Amino acid sequence: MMKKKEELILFLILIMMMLPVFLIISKTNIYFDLTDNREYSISEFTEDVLSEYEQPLYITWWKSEEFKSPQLEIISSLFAKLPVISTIRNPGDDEKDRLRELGFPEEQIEYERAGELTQALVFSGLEIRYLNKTVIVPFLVDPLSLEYQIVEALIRLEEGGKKTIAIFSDNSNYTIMISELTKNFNVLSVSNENPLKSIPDFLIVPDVMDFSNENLFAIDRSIQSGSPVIFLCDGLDINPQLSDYALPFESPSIIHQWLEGYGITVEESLISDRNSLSLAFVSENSQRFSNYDFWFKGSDRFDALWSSPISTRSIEGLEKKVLLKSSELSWLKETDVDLRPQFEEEADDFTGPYPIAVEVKGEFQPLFQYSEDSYKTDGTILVFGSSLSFSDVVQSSGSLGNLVYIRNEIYRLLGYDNLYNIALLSDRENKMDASGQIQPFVINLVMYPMLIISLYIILLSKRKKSRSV
Amino acid sequence: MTKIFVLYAKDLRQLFFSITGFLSVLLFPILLSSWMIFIVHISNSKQADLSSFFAMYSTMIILFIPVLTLKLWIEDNKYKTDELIKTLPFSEINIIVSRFSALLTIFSVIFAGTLLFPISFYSLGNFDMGKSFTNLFALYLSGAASIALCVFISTLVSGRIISWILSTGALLFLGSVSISGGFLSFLTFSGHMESFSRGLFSLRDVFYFAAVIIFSLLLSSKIILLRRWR
Repeated sequence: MMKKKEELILFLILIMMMLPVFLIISKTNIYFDLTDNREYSISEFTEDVLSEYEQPLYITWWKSEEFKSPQLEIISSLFAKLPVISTIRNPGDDEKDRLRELGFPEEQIEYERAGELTQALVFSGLEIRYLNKTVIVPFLVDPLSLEYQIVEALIRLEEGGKKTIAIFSDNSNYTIMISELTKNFNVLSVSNENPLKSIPDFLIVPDVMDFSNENLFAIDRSIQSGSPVIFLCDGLDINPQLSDYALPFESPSIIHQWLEGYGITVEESLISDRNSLSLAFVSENSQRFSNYDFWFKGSDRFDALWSSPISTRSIEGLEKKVLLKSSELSWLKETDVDLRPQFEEEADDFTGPYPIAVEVKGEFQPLFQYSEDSYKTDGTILVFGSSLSFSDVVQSSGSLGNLVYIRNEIYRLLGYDNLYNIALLSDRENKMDASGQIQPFVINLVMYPMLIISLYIILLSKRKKSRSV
Repeated sequence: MTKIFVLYAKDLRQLFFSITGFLSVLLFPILLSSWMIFIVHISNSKQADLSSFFAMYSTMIILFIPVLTLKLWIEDNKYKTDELIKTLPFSEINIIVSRFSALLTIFSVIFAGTLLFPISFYSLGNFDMGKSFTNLFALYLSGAASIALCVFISTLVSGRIISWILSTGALLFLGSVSISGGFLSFLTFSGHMESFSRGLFSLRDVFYFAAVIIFSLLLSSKIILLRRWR
């Protein structure tokens, strides 16, 4: 009896000893990232960027209590292992004013409190400090873009300021794009009344305006000096406020003629694609339906609305690469295209995919004559077969996915290739086509039962034999 | 060790050759696969994602494991082997470990059967293999922890039906209650499967499941010990 009692006491002591061990282990979170795309690991590029800082780098995630994001916390904890001082702080009332002054917005979220949905204004931004310099990431929602946003902010910190982007916009079609890009760049809004005076780091040119000679000269000069230029071109005249139909242009735009000289033609037709408004980006819970080649994290979807196909022909000295395609389930609509949604219209003979974004690299022939030779340098232009995909018409009703896309392209063309790679880190084509496939049926519902029944028959007969012996 | 093996072989035979054992081995993977094939084809899902398979798996564990555990005790009562064991020189831990191992073996056979479903689907899409591995690993761990917990409850409660109700209730609470953050989340199985479901192999969570198994088995053995005293 005594032995049993001792055993019981020993057992109780063992439990008492294990409790602190259990508590310590529960506090330390050691894990290994086994995802194919290393979604919860910091890339070597980021580690390289961070290792260049000789003095401590302070990263503070100002996060209101109500804002829950376990994933963001996991990734944030990874930064704590690097040579940075990383903290997560819930801003107190005295700190909120300072944060607002720094440019942190409070955003309204819905969260569950005691089983009920409640609304709250929350902070979720990063403050990055190095020596006497500070940069901020205003509001973090998407965990997969955390690393991207931190490195992007560090580049800003290093550059000592933002790069300058000029956008030709003589109307208010691009106010959402301008306000989004302002978070990362200095944005100059250019028009015929307010022409471009100097060469910017980057240029965005929608072909929806009549260009003055002064501005055409400025665009050409930017291309010749190596500043990347994005052209947003429509193949048909689309004005949804005025007409339900897309019609051919009365006279071809000067930009179209210009691009023809570089071997780029934006066709006079529109791509109809059943996937065009549900092209989901990578995100934690969303799904991806599309066959599009390029996906960028940071938002949840890309709306490829009213795009025209782009065809290319070879020009000496210029290299062309297709960046974005419509899905295979797309087909072409020719002139007088009805822009109203027609859900029943599902073509039987899909003719896609069609290129809708093309990159051209090389030495571009100048449109104007220049006296200085220094203008003759290699450049890059990017042509999208849609101006509306980036305009307020789409952005006000859709996601900001298109703007994330264009921002990533801007970074890439500005030479931050590695940053672009971070953006692609969690990108994967997770498509599946199970339609018409019979092997799951055969394996799971025919082969498996047969296997188990045979196994039991064999084992039972053996058992019977051994018993009879 | 030989003692454990003798008891283990007896328990395994009892369970494996029973109707309940046979139906569990046969039906668990078939029901799971049928459900998933139905979901994939009805929803016409074009996404290579097995999250609904893993979610359904947890539910199936809650349904099947208490039944299997209950069956083992019923068999013991039926053939009076429990009385026989009490008179033989087996320690309490021998009895509990062998019982747990027998149930875990049956669960492993079922688990191996269910692996056919992901295997049959992997050729059809681009699945995240790492994430699938951690998910399956978590399901195996939670299955093992569920068995240990059911063994503990069945030693604690003498009434078989009450034991089954309590086991199912406990697994339902630990496995399906989703609480974000807080102490309850720390206690539940679902809270410790979250990292695995994201594709992270978390040592903290492995330790949690290991601790649940060890504590449940140790406590079960001590309960048997206390019973023998009476």
